[in-house]
Amino acid sequence: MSHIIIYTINNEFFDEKSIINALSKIKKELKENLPINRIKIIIQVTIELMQNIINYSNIYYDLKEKKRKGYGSFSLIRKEIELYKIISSNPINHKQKEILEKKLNELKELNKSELHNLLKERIRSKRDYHQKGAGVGLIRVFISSISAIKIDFQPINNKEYIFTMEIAFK
Amino acid sequence: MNSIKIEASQNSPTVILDPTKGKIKIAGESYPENTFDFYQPILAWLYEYFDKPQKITTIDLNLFYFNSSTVQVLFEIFDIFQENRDKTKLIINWHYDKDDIDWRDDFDYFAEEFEMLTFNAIGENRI
Repeated sequence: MSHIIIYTINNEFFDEKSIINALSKIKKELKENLPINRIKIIIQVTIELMQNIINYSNIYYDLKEKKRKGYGSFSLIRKEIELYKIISSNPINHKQKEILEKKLNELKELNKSELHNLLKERIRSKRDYHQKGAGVGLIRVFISSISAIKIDFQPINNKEYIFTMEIAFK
Repeated sequence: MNSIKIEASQNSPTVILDPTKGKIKIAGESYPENTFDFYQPILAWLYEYFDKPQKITTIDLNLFYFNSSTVQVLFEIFDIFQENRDKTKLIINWHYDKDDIDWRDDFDYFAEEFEMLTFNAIGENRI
């Protein structure tokens, strides 16, 4: 099955400018083929996943004004005329893996309506602004996907993993 | 009380907070890296403004793309509006792109959650 890479960054450090540049190019590529409602979903998931790489990659360095660069990869692919996929990955440590696996397994069990309810509940209960969203972004990503999100934790060694998410959009 | 005017950047919105006219405007894209730091002075201004608001307060929200941290901040902003709704006549204008057939998703999300507030939906052509 043929596919077209709309946008990709492989094994690089992501920062604020990476997101701005990516969105500019993705919007330009998609506006010819997709209506605004569908572009909006892809853009918002791109923002969430790139900000996750910046904030949670295990390979990072701190910049001024509480800003960070995080190491990872991101691709937006068109697989068929109507099907788009985002694949995002970054290294994490064992503790992060345990936390993420628990969160993701909970989310995988929920239908869209339950995800919406959980989103509101989390927004209401996690008003801790130092936690950079505290899982709210992941719930929005699950709501956006048209099918089960593929998740993988590939071991690098006995302490670190490559965490990968693959999300599909119609 | 001072006015606040913040110019839009590529990932943060224009913000205009005018206490003498009772005008509040947030417009553009909102995914700054430190979203809460960006919105902290805005929240502080809102809390102070609603101590002695104008008779009419007009809010214009015109957000294109926003991250999950912005959604959390918007909940706090609407909480402030809801808590102070008896002190001023609130006019909340929710601007959306006429070409976005799913515009109601976000609109309904906030309108249903903050049912004591009245939201006006205003469709417009965005470039």
